[in-house]
Amino acid sequence: MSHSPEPAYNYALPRAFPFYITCDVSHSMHAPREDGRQTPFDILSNCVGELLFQLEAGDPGVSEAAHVSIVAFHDRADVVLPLTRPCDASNIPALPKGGQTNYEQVFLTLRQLIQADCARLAGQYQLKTPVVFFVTDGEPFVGEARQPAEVWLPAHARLIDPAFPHRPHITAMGFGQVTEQTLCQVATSFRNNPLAYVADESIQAVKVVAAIAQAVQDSIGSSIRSSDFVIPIPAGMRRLPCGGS
Amino acid sequence: MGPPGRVRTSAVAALVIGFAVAGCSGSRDSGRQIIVNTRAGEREQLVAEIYAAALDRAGLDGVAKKVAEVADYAKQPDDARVAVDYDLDVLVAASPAPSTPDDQRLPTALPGHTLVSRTAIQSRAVLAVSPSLQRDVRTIAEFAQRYQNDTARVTVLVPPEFGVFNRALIDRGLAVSSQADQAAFDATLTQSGFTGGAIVPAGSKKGNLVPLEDPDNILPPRTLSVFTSDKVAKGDPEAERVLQEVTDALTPQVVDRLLTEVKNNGKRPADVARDWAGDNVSMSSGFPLAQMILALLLGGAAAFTALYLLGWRPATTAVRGGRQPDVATPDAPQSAATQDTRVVVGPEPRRIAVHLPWSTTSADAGLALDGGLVKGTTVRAATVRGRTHSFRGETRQDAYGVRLSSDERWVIAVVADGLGSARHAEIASTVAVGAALDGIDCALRSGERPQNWDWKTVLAYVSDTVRRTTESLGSPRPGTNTERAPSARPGTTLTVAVLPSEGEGQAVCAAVGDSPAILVTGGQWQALACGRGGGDNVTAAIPGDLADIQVQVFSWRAGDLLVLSSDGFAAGVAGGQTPLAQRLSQTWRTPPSLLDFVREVDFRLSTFDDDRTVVAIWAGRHDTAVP
Repeated sequence: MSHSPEPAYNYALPRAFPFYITCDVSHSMHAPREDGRQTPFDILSNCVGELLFQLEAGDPGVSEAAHVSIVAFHDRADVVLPLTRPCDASNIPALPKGGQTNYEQVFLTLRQLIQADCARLAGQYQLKTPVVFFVTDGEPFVGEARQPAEVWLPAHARLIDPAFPHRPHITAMGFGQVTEQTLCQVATSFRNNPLAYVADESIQAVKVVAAIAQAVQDSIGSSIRSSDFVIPIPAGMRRLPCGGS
Repeated sequence: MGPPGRVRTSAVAALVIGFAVAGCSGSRDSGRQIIVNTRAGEREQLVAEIYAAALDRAGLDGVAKKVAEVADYAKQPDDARVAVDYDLDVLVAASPAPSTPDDQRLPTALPGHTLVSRTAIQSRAVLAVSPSLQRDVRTIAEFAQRYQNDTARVTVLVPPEFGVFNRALIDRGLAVSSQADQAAFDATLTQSGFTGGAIVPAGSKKGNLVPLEDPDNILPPRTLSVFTSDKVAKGDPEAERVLQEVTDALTPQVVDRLLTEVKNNGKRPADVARDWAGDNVSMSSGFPLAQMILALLLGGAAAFTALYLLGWRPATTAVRGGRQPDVATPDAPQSAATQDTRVVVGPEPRRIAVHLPWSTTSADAGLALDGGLVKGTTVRAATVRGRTHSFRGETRQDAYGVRLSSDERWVIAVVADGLGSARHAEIASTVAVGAALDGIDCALRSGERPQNWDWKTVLAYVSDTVRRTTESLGSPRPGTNTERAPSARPGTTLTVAVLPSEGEGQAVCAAVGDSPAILVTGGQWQALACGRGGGDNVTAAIPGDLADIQVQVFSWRAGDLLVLSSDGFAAGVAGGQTPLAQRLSQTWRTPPSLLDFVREVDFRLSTFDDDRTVVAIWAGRHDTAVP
């Protein structure tokens, strides 16, 4: 018996948990390695497909309640997989490869996407708070220079605007060149804990990506089963206090 | 990703099974899956759903699936597949050279596929441009001529839907910006200060953009065409017949009307398609007897389930005019797939593999069903193994019981929902039901009316019985509670009701946990104060939570209906305003047939995966002349 999240007698709509897996596909993710081995992008590409497969193959409770979207960002943001239940995703296009790292575009796109997706689902489903898994290996960089925070923070602020009824939790998971400060600026807090994670420097990027994918999968399954947002700390990463204790 | 290898394997497996059935029986091989693919686009997807529903209607298990691009149709050449796409898009994908839709190459343009028919459904696009650019320009050709050397200033945005026109525009010297997705297209278009053009569907309005004329057919109309993979084309005349029948009946007006039902009335494309197919597509001739025999041979204990899923009731079908809007595609294994008559009350769940538990007997069957008179009341009772347990090969953990008291003055009804978080859930609920029936009957012999009882004492007996029985149990048998905490004590919710067996009077319900008692009076669903939910995945349960007991005395009158249920069912009726509750207000005015009852208890709704149990008691004698 799996008990319903609200008093049983009060809910009658199917549950929907929107998850937006937002991947950095800028040049540093896929730049060929001198030793010819896999890049973080290669690992990420495989993991995304594997993640959807695992979700689809799992308990119907999870595979039906999870609604997953994949957004790739570089110079712009591409919606690789529009929000869909894993069981309905028959074909997932490959992740594109891009050049730079435009945070402003990805936050603008996410706001539009989440707003449209949630408006569409709201009538038919009991909607849970959307979750954005933001995976990046670099600082925002557009044109010839780092994209200043004052350029992308307004777009980020619109996404998590308290007046936006579907404002998501944002889990920022970073490795490579990205700074802790940037991750803390991207992440939201959940129960007073910032959802910002950074990889230990000693860990290879490809291993971090695999660990992140596993954590995302576990998070989706656990969140649905417990009916509340749950995120395990990916192996090889640590949670950032972001100014708190 | 979304592992194509796995998809192909399962589709091939379905085919092998299908052909094996045909080989044994001499009958046609129904049970095969035919995938109807199309790319994104509301209209195109609806059309694909219609073809899939028509194949389903003919017993051929059509499933509509989206693909990303034309090349995807041919990626799994062994599949039984129908591809629905625009002629021009298929041609352009086959060869980058500019084409017109009338090209003679269309019949062979899609590798491994054959063109079956071209529908009457067309898509027309226009180039709409900013008013400032439209001065002294009337047609696309003029626009291209005027701005072909001005590519720095004037760009034409092309959404993915119309990517096929990129080439024609570039060839005329226009700067084209191919948009990654519709959201990006809309976002760029609505940016302030946007100047340029955009390819939009004919007749649509985008901001202040002005459509240009196209007498030169630079953006020719595209016709939705139907291709079948060789597997279908060479081996399945029945499928071809159905596809042709749909093509003949499908006019643009039909699609527009159905699309309106989807957009304005909130209906799901699959439901709209199924209704349309029910009215417009002839069913196949011949009854799939071989399939039923095979199901029986294969199924053993699953046979009854298959029978009720199949819902083969010619008389009822005829009464309903041959159309059943509630018909759904079953979760059942494909070997037993024809029509599923369980009611659908919202977004449908996905198909799952169903596994029998490690061992099964009629005592712990996945489905138990009863009905009949108990003195002056009429009872329907059903318990159904939920989808999560079916998927995991676990046993049902709900239980019910009904009895007449020894003095025949009372009807006792019980529902119990074993705690899935602990071991031996199915034993806890079954033991609780038995102990409650016995314990309450014993208490009634005291002569004290149940509304005056100390219910905590009565249920303490049940609680103790559950504790004593389960604490002596060892490890769970294989296939039960596979992922459960071994340390958690077995437990169950318990909701009971005691009603006068004849006529009107005072009745009482008592509960520990979240299996509610609902009184339906004049079609109104009223939750009694028994079994109200605790929320947050937590419920009170016995043994242990007797302090949380809820008791309510209520009046029992002619025409009343009392519904005791586990939360797996109650969540579907919620406050009584849901589609399910409103439907049941009608269909449960009087006791339905057993099969109709279980079709409604086992309603289909995405994410509603729990076991479901209902004991429904109508005041009055109804089952006096059951056919």
